[in-house]
Amino acid sequence: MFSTSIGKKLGMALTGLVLYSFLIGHLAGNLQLFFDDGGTAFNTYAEFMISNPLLVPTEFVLLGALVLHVWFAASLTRLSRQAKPQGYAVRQAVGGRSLASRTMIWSGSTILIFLVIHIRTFKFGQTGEGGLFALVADTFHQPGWAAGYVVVMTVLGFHLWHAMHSAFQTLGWHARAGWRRASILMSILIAGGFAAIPIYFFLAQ
Amino acid sequence: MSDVDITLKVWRQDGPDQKGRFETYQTQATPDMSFLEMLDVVNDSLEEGQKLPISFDSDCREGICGMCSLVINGVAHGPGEGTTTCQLYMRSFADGDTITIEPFRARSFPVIRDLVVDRSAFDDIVQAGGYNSVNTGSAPDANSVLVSKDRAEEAMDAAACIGCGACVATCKNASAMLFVSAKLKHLNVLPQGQPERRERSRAMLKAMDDAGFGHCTNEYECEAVCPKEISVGTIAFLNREVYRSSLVTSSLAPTVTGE
Repeated sequence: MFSTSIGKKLGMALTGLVLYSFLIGHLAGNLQLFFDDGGTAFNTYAEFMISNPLLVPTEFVLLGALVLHVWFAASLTRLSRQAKPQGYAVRQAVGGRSLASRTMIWSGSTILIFLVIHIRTFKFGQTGEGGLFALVADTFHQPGWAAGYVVVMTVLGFHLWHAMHSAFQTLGWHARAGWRRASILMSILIAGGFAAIPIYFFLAQ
Repeated sequence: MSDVDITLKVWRQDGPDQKGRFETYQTQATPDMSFLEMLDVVNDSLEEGQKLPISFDSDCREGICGMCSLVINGVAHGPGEGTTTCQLYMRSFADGDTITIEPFRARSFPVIRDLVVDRSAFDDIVQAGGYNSVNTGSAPDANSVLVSKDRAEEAMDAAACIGCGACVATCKNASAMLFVSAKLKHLNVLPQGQPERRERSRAMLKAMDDAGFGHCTNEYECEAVCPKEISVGTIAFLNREVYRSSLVTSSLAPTVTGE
């Protein structure tokens, strides 16, 4: 099944939705950074997550989904390039083709590189007295880090722009215009929510 | 409306393995000329000058045979919704316009000459499963096999596909999903198509992949250029049928149902 073109698309959709759900959960947890309590709530939450026995299995599921998502994307992009070796001299976008939809592989690659840096900084970063909250605050007090995160979150929003309704269509659920709009709204909410964190800490120092 | 002066940039290619190039022609057209008639006039003048005419496909010239093609100014079948190139008229263009004409591009649609491409890969897909081979006996009594109005409409919408290949031409992945889904759906939603439903889904998917068509990235350009306005909902149907065919085993597959 997963060796066919539709099977690979199914793989993209399923792993994509797993990663999408993670993003929602991740954002929900991160919103505690905005609590005006010197980071108590967020640090308690971070401690709870680190000491949770379900953390490692969940991380493996996410890593698996990520690896498969990247693998299927690479395989399908290769297929696509082979199927259309020559483009047109004049090209006019029609239908639902957008800048976001045609740059999925590039926005995805950017997020992949970002992930390595992000995990190194926050998962394996040195936390001191103030816990993870202080690490987040210190990181985003630096203009370079704050700006970099905002840029990458914009790219993430771009990636999600063509994500949800596309996944549903692949799963066999005809995603009509309303779903496409919902998908775009979700991408703005998620990317905006994440981008608000560096902006907030940079301005709050 | 008065006549329009048009500059054409046309893809010329002497053979399948030859290198192609754009050539420029000046022509005059009346607004009521069809696009293909305009090309006929250009070809007449080329022949008068002892030059080889531009090769392009056409047959019925009334939008039902699926033979005409062309990517006109970057849009398969040119401007206008739900029309083939033969239904495109020169009144859609303004005086002084430059029109770029290219062949349908896809690895599975190799150029034969100029604007003519070989679309027999579509025939291979239909031969793989776009038919009914079960003996249904003599004509049944009227209304003995019930098909609901909605179901009949769905089947007819899919069956409107004329196999022109505009979906593949416009798709950045050269995906044939809209064509394949239409050719599959008009059989798979009807009672007569049930006995071979699973095998049909599997065989047509395999033929599509084997022919070298790409995958669908859900950008819906195919729907926008389809002269028969086949919905991308048909592609979602194809996806469902493929998943279903891998879950349902042959012996469990429903035979004729009156659904």
